[in-house]
Amino acid sequence: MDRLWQFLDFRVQRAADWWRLPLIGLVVSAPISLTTSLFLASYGAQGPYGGFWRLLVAGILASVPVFVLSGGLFVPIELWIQRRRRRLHQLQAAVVRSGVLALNGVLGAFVAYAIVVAALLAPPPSTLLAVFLITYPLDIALVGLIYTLYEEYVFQLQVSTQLTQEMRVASGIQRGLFPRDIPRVSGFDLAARCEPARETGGDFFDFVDLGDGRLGMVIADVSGKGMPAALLMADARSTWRAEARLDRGPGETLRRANTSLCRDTDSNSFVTFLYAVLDPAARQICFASAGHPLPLVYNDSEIKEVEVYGLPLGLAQDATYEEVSLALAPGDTVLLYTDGIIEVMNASRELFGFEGLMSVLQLEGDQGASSLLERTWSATRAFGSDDDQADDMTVMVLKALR
Amino acid sequence: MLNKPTEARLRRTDNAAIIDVSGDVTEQGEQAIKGAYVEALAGDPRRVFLNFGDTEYINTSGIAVLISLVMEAGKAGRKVGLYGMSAHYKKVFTLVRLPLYADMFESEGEALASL
Repeated sequence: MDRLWQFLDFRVQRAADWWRLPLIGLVVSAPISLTTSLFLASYGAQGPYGGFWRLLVAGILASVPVFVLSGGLFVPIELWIQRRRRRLHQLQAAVVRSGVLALNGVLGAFVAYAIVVAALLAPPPSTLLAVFLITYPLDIALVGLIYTLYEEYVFQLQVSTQLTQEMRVASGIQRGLFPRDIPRVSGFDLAARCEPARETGGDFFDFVDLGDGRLGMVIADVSGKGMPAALLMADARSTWRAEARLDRGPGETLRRANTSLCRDTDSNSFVTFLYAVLDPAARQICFASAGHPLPLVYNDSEIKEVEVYGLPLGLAQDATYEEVSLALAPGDTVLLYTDGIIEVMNASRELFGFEGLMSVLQLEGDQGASSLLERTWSATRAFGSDDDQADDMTVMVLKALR
Repeated sequence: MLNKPTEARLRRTDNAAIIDVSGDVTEQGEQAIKGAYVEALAGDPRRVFLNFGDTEYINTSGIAVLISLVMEAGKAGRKVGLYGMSAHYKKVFTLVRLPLYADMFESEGEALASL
């Protein structure tokens, strides 16, 4: 893409690029020159001024230098327009370019007429001058208009390429915010995966080492998608990490993170958070939720939702967050997810839903963490209508080993 | 997946204003929903209800729009009523604690009977 726009970028933006304009004038005007010359040759061939081919060649030879010259004379005007780029609207630029070139076309018409007079044996009628005076200024003014459209196209292409590159860089930076490795926890099997719907996303998961073998685990979803969500995601993640390291428990951590995020978010943004602290030695997990889908716990074909509620982060400064603790028996599987999983839609616009996810857990709950995660993913893919993922999707699976 | 545009049509009963929300509720629907709410208040109804009976999909940005609306209404001393949601979105609304700021009803009849 870079090479494409560099190849196409033939605009005159610096004095050193002056040589491009005559070339642009010639390329854009060549078809016009040929058409005009054909018209003149057909017209002249019926009169006493020579044969068709002679007049055609005379017309081309007369018009081409006019276009090249017009382009050359156009350079100072073009540089003036470029210097005022921020102040001059594209329409104004087109009027200036086309107006200057039209005036130049008038001059060209007289020059072309003089060449025809000199080249032909019999004197041409005055109507030929009228034809030159109409066609040349109009043709050359068209060059100004086409150049403006071309310039706008290349400019937009350049902007779009730059945006794409920046999005790619942002996506790389965001990928770097995710844990490089899934932590190993004695007696537990852990897996997690996040796929944004666009280059960047608002979902994330993360872990923090709380000492004594305890692990802080978070899964979160920022409202919205794309770059705005990614920026808020980075903010929410760093806020949570700073608070989590203070090890005040999931509820208090979310309360403090919320107070901080309320200052950073507008009224139309929020972050749903599920923060869990796993104590592998005690085989206990403690949850606090900020508006996040409820954790699912599976064991021996039974699924239960852990009822833990709280207001999403960033909405109300005085929000508090309850904690719910759970003893994990061998074989217990905890599934955490974001709404992108349950809101996958099929062609009939039906949602995969809480029921769809529970069905997968019911069928595959005895699998290992990675295997269950993959099967959950496959099930949503199979259910969805197309490859166009509507929302960011994240799943985290924690399994207590037997 | 292409989103259907959000539509919000206002109708009035004797002492309530009902905003029928249809299509998909996303960030693009903010103007439609909040505009209809402001229009609804102009008639000074006893209560404003949002009917989601024809809504198929609400994304997180749409939820954010709804939370923002009910919270703003709450600050102005009004409690919005919600009904017609599918079981899925009833659960989602509960998860994000919408019932703290708005009342949820099973049907229009139940909603109007609450007046």
